[in-house]
Amino acid sequence: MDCSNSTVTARAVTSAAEQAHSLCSTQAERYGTNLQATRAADDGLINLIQQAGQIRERLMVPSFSADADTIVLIPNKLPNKARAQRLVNCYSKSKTMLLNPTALTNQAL
Amino acid sequence: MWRPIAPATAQRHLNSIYSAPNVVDGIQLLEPHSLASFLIVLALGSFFTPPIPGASPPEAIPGSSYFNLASALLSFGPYHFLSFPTMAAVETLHGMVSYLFCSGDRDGGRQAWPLLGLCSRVAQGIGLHKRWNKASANPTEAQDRSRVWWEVISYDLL
Repeated sequence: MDCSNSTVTARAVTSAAEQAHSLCSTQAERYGTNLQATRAADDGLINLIQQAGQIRERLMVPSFSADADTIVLIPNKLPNKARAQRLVNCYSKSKTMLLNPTALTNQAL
Repeated sequence: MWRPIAPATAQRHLNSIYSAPNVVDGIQLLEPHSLASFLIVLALGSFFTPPIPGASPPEAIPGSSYFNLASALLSFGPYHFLSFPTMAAVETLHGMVSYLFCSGDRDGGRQAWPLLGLCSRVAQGIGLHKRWNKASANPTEAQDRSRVWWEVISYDLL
């Protein structure tokens, strides 16, 4: 599936992820001892979940829907500690940022 | 004003997440709505932090991945903010409104306005508009409740 196509909908990705999940389960049952096959199917699933997350990002709307797949994405999306500290500092030190973002950006630069 | 999530709270959340052996364990130390409020702090901070040279390509709208995860977390599992409203959820909604206003997206303002109304309703729903008289409450909690309420209501009236 080509997820670079902007017409791909989140529903299509979800459907594909479900199929991949099914495939993964089947593979695991069939090749219980074949770790490589299971891992390959698992990698495919993770890839699809990430693509679904990217599409959701592009949509940029409050989704108000969360499932286990969304939660799986969180550790990958969090910045490292230094970057997170920088972002928190920026949030904490700015007093008027939401009224005048441009001024604050200039100040930060 | 304009910072519904107290900086000290954001710092406490950061310390919780990153002091764990790994991030996967760290995020489980926070309730979903508290994690959402932390993510919205990162999203807002992303707007005003200059990009790091050599870092991966910036998102089209800075912090949009944090924003989307935060909005999703508000409705995660049994902690859906409509049936399980919390002050952290109110703070997150307020932050989301600010983010949408700042996003520069034409639809941002359109999405922000109803969201702000929802935020003030949730705030009322958990009684932030009432004086906090719980004998067991500590002064900080009472102050936080009052601060968040006035943040929300003054934003809504603008």
